[in-house]
Amino acid sequence: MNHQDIISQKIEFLNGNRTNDLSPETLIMVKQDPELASEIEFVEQLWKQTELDRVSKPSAQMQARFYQMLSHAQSAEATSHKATESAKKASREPLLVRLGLFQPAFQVLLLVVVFGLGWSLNSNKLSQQTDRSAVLENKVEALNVMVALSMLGKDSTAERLAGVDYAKNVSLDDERLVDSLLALLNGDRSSAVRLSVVDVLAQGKQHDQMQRKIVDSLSKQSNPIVQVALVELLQNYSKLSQQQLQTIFSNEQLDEEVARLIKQNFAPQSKTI
Amino acid sequence: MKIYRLKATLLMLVMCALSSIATSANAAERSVSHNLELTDPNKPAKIDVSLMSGKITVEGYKGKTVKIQATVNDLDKVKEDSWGVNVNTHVNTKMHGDAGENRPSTKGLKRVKKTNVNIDIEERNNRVSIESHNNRDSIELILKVPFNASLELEVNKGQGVSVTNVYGEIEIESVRGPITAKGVRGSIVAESSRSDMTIVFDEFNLEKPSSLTVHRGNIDVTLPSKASALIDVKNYDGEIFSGIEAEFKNVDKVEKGKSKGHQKITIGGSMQANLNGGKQKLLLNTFRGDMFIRSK
Repeated sequence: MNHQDIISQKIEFLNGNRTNDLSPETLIMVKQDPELASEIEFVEQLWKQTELDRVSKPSAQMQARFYQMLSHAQSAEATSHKATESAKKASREPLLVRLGLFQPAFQVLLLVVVFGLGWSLNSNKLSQQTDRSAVLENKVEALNVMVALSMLGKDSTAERLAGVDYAKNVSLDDERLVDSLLALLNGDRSSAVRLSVVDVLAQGKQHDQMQRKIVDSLSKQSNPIVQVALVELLQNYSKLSQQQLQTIFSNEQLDEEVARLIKQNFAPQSKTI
Repeated sequence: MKIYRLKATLLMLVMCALSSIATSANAAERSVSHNLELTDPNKPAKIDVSLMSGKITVEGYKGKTVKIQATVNDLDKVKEDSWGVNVNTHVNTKMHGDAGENRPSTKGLKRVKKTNVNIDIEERNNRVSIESHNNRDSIELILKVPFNASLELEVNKGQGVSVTNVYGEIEIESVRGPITAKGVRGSIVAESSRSDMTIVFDEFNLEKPSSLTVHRGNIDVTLPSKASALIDVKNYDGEIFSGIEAEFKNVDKVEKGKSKGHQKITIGGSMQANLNGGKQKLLLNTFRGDMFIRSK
């Protein structure tokens, strides 16, 4: 037995292909030969190092059992694959997914989220726009009042008429405008202007102070057309007091027909007037 | 700036400017004429006339000056002629109140007829003002003005106002006399208390509203068939006759019955017609009188 045979037996043993290690007689020979002993030692060291990195392989029986089990498992899986898969999915996936509505639902949800986000953002914008619109409207209204006041102060009767017509489209909340209209009603030389003013005042708020001013104006008017228009306007207000009626009838220029109408409509129970 | 101020008596004019004076044979009638140059003949003139009594006649013409002719009649004579009233043309003691009763005797004295004409004429930057506050005489004023002039005419009593072919803005107020305006192209605002009014539009102005008001009297208005007017009518006691191609509709809110303890009724009412789109307003107001609305 030479050195090569002894090293081969050792490797076979280490590799599991030989159940018995070197015999005692072979070990004596190794001890007596330092070169051989050195080579056997190198093989053992090398094998130990390799053993650390090596994964233990299953035995042939184990592999056979494993592959048998695998075969059984694959056959069983093949027969019940669909049912098993659907059962597994059914137990894990949500109802919408099972019903095939997941994508549309997601789209709807996305839309709702986007809509909500947009609504939230736009509601802020809308409120801001509303505020801006209100401010703008106030500015426009103030501008309209100024234009109307300017037109009402013109020398030309036609322009004042145009101004009164303009004032019909302006809110009568502005006291300056109402005062200017009342000044025209009581002092403009043109009956047409005064008459148009009555039309504008008819669109305004009805309150006691305005009623007093109308009564006061009626006591000054000379033109029966304007007198009648004011009587019509007064009918939008509450009943006239006896003192107010006396104020009206103190107008020496009050037309007889107008006086009759006033008696008929505002003092039906009064026999003293 | 050019300012004309003419405050003349007939006597002064006889002495100073015989050529511009024509005195009629009738001692009760005097006449004066004047040709007034404008500051800027190329710009429109504004003519403002105010008379206490008489008649104003204005006619548009191609020239660039304002021609003024004034004829003065004793108001007493006018009363006899036009009103048929016989008024004592001599001393009327009642006019002088208590002092008249103790008036000194006029025996042996001749009454000297007043021959003065009190008319103030002023021109300032094309704005002409003609005024007379003479309450005892009736003044017939005839003016020829450039076509594009604007007018503001006022006469308190007398024979009213007549305007022909003046295309600017017109304002007329005649308390007792009739108003006639023909060939109107600008806006017109006219008012009469006790006489009829006749207005003929050549064009209906769209820049400013027009208004015709008569307290007691008729309104006769003629519009071009193509006029775009929103005609607003207030007529409390009278009829409306229309020849325009637009229907008049009631625009008043009428509430009948009783409300809050008092009865609400409708007096008169307002009617409106939209002619060719109604781009500008024409206001027609009468208290007692008929309306004639024509188309040409």
